[in-house]
Amino acid sequence: MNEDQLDLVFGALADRTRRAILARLAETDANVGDLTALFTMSQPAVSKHLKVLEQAGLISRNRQGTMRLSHLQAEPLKDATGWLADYRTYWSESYDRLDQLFESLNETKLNETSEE
Amino acid sequence: MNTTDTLKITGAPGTQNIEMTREFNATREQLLAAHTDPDLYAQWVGPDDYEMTINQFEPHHGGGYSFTHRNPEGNEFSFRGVFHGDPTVEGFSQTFEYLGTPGDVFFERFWFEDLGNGRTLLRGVSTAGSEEARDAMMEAMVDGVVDGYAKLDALLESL
Repeated sequence: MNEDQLDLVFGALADRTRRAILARLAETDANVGDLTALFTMSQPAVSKHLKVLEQAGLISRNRQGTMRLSHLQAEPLKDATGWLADYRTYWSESYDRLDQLFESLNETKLNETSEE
Repeated sequence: MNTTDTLKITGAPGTQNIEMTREFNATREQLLAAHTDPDLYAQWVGPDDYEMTINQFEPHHGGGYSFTHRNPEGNEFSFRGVFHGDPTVEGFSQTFEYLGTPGDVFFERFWFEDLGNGRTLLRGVSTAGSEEARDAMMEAMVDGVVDGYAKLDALLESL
């Protein structure tokens, strides 16, 4: 996931109504009418929230007959929390472990030498 | 033996380079072994608490390498590249690509410089295909993780 996609995911999650929509979709798929019934807001307002969620990749929308069902896509949530450590931490921790590795290699060598 | 974190990382503005230096209480031969012996390499590369799996490791001119990090949450991050020229006690060159950003290939050169008294300076220059790709690689993702968890917590609470 790139920075732009992360921005979209975090932006989508920053809104309470959109989190509530995701929570509802975690139970079952729903159409815009089902969702509008849950909130004290107009259908166009709910549709707007669905569009934001769709652009963030958090939901997909499929047409079933005359109904358009929204479906929760959990994958971006997992990705958003799963970033690799930053560059400095990555190498700092790696090289600290390399120090320890060299230390143990050098100790092994010293022991071998003293045994000879 | 003292470990001294002398790691310096810089990305000069207007360049596509990440430059780093780090001193070690080790010889150039040991630095070479640490970067070319897969058994050793697997023991130190990657953040703490990550599982490291080497899928391929051919440290010679034209040889490929690839490895996968798995964090405690179970997310996997894979990397791959090719060695360019045979690694020696002078250093080595390779390409490097994070599979999460396909096509953002870095060219990396590492030098092992003898400092005497059994100490060696590791110097690395990693060149990205663009300044944006360089910045994306260097950017701290830690805040993103903390942010992500806070928001995920809030979402899970509301479920």
